Order: sequence, then C-alpha cells, then structure tokens
Amino acid sequence: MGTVADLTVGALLYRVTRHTISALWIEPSKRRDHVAIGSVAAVLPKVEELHDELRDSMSVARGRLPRLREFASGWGRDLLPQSVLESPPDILVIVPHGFIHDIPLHLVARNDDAEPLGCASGVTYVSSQSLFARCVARNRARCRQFGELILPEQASPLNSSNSSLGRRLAGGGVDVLGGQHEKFSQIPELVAELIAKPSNLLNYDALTRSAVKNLLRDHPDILFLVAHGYVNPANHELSGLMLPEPNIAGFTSVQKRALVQQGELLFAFRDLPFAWAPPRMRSALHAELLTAAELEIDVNVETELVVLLACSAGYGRVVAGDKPASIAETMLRAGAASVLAPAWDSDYESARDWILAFFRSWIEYGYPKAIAFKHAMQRIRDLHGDTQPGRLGALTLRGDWL
Amino acid sequence: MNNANEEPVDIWGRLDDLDDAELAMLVEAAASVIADNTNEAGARIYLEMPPRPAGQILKSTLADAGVAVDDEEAAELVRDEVVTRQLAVHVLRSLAQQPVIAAEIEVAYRARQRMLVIDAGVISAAALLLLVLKLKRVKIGGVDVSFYDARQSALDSIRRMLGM
Repeated sequence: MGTVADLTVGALLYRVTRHTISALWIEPSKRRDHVAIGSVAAVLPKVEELHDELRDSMSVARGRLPRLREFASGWGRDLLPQSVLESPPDILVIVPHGFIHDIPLHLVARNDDAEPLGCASGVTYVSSQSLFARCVARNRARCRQFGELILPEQASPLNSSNSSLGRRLAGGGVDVLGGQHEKFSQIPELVAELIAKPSNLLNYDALTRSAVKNLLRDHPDILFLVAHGYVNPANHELSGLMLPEPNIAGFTSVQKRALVQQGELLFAFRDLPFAWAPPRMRSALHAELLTAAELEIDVNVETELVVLLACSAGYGRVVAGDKPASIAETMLRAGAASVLAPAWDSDYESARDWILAFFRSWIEYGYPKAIAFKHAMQRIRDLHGDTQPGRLGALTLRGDWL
Repeated sequence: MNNANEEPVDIWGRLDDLDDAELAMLVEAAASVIADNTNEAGARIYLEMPPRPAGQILKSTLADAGVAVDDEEAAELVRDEVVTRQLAVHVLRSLAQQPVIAAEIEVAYRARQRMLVIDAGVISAAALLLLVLKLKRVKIGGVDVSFYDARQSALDSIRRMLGM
C-alpha cells in the first residue's frame, strides 16, 4: 500500500453566503476547483429536518431515520463535488461553513452500491483552515516515524511496546446521572488492553474536574472520557462535561492550587468550578461541570487524540465566528490535535465495536487516524450492512488526520 | 447504556418500581411509538413541547374532555415530579393492557436502553398524556389500537389527583 507520504490528501472548503453554497475542492494534485453546490433556500430546510431527526435519541435508537437515509442516498450527494464521489482521495479534510457544520457528509453514498464516502476515504472535519493548521502544527504524531502501510487483513499487529507507536492513555468513565459507572468505564478499559504502555484510567469517583485537568497537565497521548455532557443554551462557554464533585469521607472537598510566577509562590487559590451541574437535574452523584471556558483558560490539551463519548459532545449550534459550540470543538481549540466524538447518540455495542476497530487500526497497525476512521466505518458496515446509517456514521473524526 | 447480555426484566410488571430514569425512558418510548404510528399531522410536536405551552394545551384539551382545571393545576400536571410520575404510570398501565402497542413500546424501550447516552431522567408525562387524549387510535402493523381505555384511565387519575 505504500507509506504515509504516498497517501493522497484532498480538502473540501465550504462557503455559505446568504443565498448560495459553494465549495473549493483542493485536489491531491493541488489543483483548485470552485464548485457551485446549491441554494441556501433549497438546502437549509432539509438540513434542519435532518438535525431534528438526529437529535431525537428515540428515533436514532429505533433506527427510524428516514431523513438520514434520504440525505445519504439523495440530496447529500448534491453537497459534494462529483469528482470527490467518483475518485475520493485517501484522506479527505472537510472544512464546513455555516449550517454545513455537523452534516454527516461521510455517510453520503458514493455510488449505486451505497458505499458511504467514509468507507472509501478517511474523512476528518475541522471548523476552519486556521484551526486545521494549528492541529497539524501541534500534532506530535507528525514527529513520529511511520513505516510501510499494509492492509490490516494482511498485516500482523505492530509490537507497540517496541515501536514508537506505543501511546499513553488516560481518562475513564463516570455516569453521574444514572450511576452505571462500570459500563461507562468499559470502553476505555478495552482500549487500554490494546495499548502496551501502562494506562492512567481513573476510577469513577476519582474522575473529578481537578483530576481530569491533572491528567491533561501530564500530556497523555490519548485522553479518553466517557461522561455526560451538558449544553448551556444561553452560554456555550459554560457547557461542559458532568463530573463528580471531589469527596472526602462524605464531604465535598475543594482542591487548593498554588499560583507560581517566576518560581515564586504568589498565593494558593481554591480551584472551584466555573459552573455546577444544572439545577433540577437528578443525579446519582453530586456533579460539577468541567466547562469549555475552564478548559480554554486552565489547561493546555497537548494530546494526540481526545475521545469523548458524551451526550452533546460532538454537536452544537454555530456561534459567532462560525464556531460550532461543542465540547469536541473546545478540545481542539484548547490544543488537542484530533478529537473523536459522536455527532449523535449511538448504541453501546456499535460505539464499542467502532472504537475498538479504530484503535486496532491506529494503535496496532499504525495507520493514520483518518485511515483508522475509514477502517472502523468499514468494520461497522461489514457488521450491520447499510441498514443502520445511524450506527455507521455517529462517530466522527475532527482535527488533524495523521 | 445497557449490555445486550443482561437478562431483560419484565418492564410492565414493575411500573411502580421503575426509577425515574427508567420511567422517563419508557414514557419517551411510548410517546415516540404513538407519534410514529398516527396519521395525525403534527403529533410529534407534543414530544418537544416546553412545559408552559404543554400546560396550556393540556388545560384546553382537558376542558374539551369535561375536566376543568385552572392554570395552576395544569402547570402542576406538567411540572410536579410526584404528579407526573403517577400520571405516567397510570397511562402506561392502561397502554400495557393492549399487547400490540405494549410490545412495540417495549422494543423501543430496549433499543433506547442500549444507547450510549442516557438522558437526565425527567419524566415528560405531558407529551404522552396529550397524545393519548388528542388521538383516538393508532395503527401498528395493520392492527388498530384504540386509546379509549387509556384516555378514560388518564382522565380518572387526573380527577382523583385534583380531588374532583
């Protein structure tokens, strides 16, 4: 199959104006092609209906997704240049704009066989060109040596402990609402088994806001969090992950942190959350929020990959500056090179199978993340066919593809 | 989030013992099944209706059915946690008497249980109540399912709750 340098990479940059949608298609040969996609008046109502359907967890659970099917086999094809559908590159970087954010273009059927684009091309989304450039610049994977890439079916896994691909995993799972901590912790634990290096997975009651920030300060290669997300409808900066309050002997404790400047201790301050869990929300544990604002201010997310399996993690309304208001976006802006997050809810078994297929391809076989994304989609398609687009396309890769 | 390997428990036999998250999920499943199987245009709108307008519509719907409630009582039916729980159990119990819809609701409930993300467990009985009161019947797999008994049961329980 060749090496990473042999992979063909194309980019699709969308532009939405008041009336029209267009795209700049940058081919792997660097040739640029401006493509008129369609009118806003024709596409926007369909996009809104699609979003409504995908936000309805019960419709997703029951697999009743007629609008997603219409999108994948019908009008979604009109949103992609014909040449992308006919001969997709190995890697496709999609930079959406306006209401095109959060549209699952990786599910669009390429041909009459209904093969989704994401099964033919490693698709990654990023909300802007400058963010993509920042993700690439800080991606430590770009300093690694990649060997010959061969098909997973023909390959034997790399010995991670002896290769440069062994990565440090940190994180854990906590269900502050329902108390099903064991199940929330299961997927990161399964991933830890694939990784040769010792992992730093925290117990559910230790996975507090301060602990997650401490994990991030240790700069793990992978941060894997399974938790509930909360979207603040009035202020995205106060949206975040719901984590348990620190608790010592039944009492809520507050961590004190030293503020040091030029080697001198200025003072110690109490590390209080920017926001607590919303009122009227019943929960199994006392919860506080690790908010988008706190992540942006207090930590530098120097990780190669953040995996967020949380409600509301991968989608959100677009706020000023064409910024999608999601926790996944916040993680990219706070420093992560890439983020895996669901664009809508997914069933547990499919998410587990998808994640394990992704990590086998990325960690065991040493593929770039976008190729691992493609392999994971192919794996789920093999398991479920094209009957369950909701399962196939829920998880998306954002940020750098390598 | 549930493992497929777990033994399914009889959901209808333990309606009173369901915790709030389970009951909320069952109500959501029932409302979704009803809204998906009616020809009534706009039935799905009740699923996403905020409490205040839901309370107003409930008030006028109950008045049409001969149960006069004031604004405060309508708001209580929509917002009060104890009342919504009781109401949800009553309506679900009467739906459970009809095997076709009970089976369909149970399938939806099991599917929702397998999802990675669970909701906060707020029981939105108002949506289910409005669907049962507004719609006369649904058609599931070619079988007509009448809401007559469910409707009467819901109205009786509201009368009892409000001391009428």
